[in-house]
Amino acid sequence: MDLASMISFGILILAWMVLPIREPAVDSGAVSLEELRPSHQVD
Amino acid sequence: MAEISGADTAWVMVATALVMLMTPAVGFFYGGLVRSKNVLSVIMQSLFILALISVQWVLWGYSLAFGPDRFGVIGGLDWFALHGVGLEPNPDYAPTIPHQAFMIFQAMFAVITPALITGAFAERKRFKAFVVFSLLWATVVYDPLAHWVWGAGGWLKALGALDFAGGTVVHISSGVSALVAALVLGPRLGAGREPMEPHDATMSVLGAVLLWFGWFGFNAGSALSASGLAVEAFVVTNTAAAMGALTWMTVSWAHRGRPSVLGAAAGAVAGLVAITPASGFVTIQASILIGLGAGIVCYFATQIRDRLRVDDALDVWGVHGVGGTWGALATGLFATLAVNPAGANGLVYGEPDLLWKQGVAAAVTWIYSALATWLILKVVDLTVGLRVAEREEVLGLDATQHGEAAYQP
Repeated sequence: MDLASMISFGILILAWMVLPIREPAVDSGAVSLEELRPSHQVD
Repeated sequence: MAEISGADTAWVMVATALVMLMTPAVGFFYGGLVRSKNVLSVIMQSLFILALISVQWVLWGYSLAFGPDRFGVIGGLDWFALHGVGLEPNPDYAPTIPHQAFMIFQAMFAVITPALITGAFAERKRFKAFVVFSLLWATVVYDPLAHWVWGAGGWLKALGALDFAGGTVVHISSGVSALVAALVLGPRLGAGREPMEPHDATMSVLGAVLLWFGWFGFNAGSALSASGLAVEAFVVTNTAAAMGALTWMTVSWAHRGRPSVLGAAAGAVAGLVAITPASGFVTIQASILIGLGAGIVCYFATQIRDRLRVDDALDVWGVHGVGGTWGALATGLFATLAVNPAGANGLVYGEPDLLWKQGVAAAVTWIYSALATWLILKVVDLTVGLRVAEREEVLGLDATQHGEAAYQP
């Protein structure tokens, strides 16, 4: 049981290291760059 | 006269207050997930149930659930309006605290269970129908089930099925009933065609963490004593919640490409659901595996529900029905007498018998909850009418059922 619980936790940690975070679909028009920019940002 | 323990009594009273907090927490968890035009109606359902079942419980609910046994299936009405339920301990249930302390602790379980179902019929059920349904469901489904599993003389208890804090009585019953309710009511207008995104994810996360907080009372309070067993239940509860959150977030990340905040919150609830029946019977290592399993099976249950186009609006079946079933079966796998001499050893400890009993208890709860809920819904539909009119659904239940708005423009 110790080993099984350690392995399961280890797999999760490994997954966080390797899983990519999908980019917002800017090109598809679902999200515009304007929407992504913080509203308080001054150019 | 039995000896009352001040420490045990104090802990059970605190635990009762913790469990009480869980019902409005359900309202906030669900409230954030619905559209802004329905948030008040969802919160009202939890608030109203807290009041409604508190009175039902002291009048007849407690007596039906825990009163003197009738044929293993129901308690008698000997304790109607709490006659005979005083400050003397009842050795059948909790020998070191006043009987009324046990009663009010159990009241909070009776309160939260129908509140869990409200997520399935959110955004389309008439308030009057909800009132009648909740009262009938508490009386016809919850009270007998509580007697079968926890009542002195209850037949599932006599069979040897274990349910420390409500995996079958609370979670399978509410989850399965939610599925039936969603099927009978039908989907919301526009479901599957229009976006129905959560209107306030922050509210839902706050609700989820309040549930996590209250769940310490739910599980550790079920030890009914300020004892080592309560501490064990407390630790496994936190561990399973944590593993459920981590696992759901990871599985949804692998599946959908991002670590979801609402996914982590739902995963924590799934882990809490799954550890509930097991919490006084399993080791801390087992709780890691139970939380892991909950994060996986409940996530995929919600995906299957979505594919089947059943509009269980807030995934009560996926989280509570499936998570409760996994928890009941996991108790049959991982329970050990080393944690609780009053329990039993599970399959991992060489005794397959408990797993069989857990399967029977889960199956019976599924079947009874489904049939009784279907019947109640049909009765309510024929008498009061289940669903709001289309126009009311479009305008939102806050305005049409309660005449109030959650947010001012």
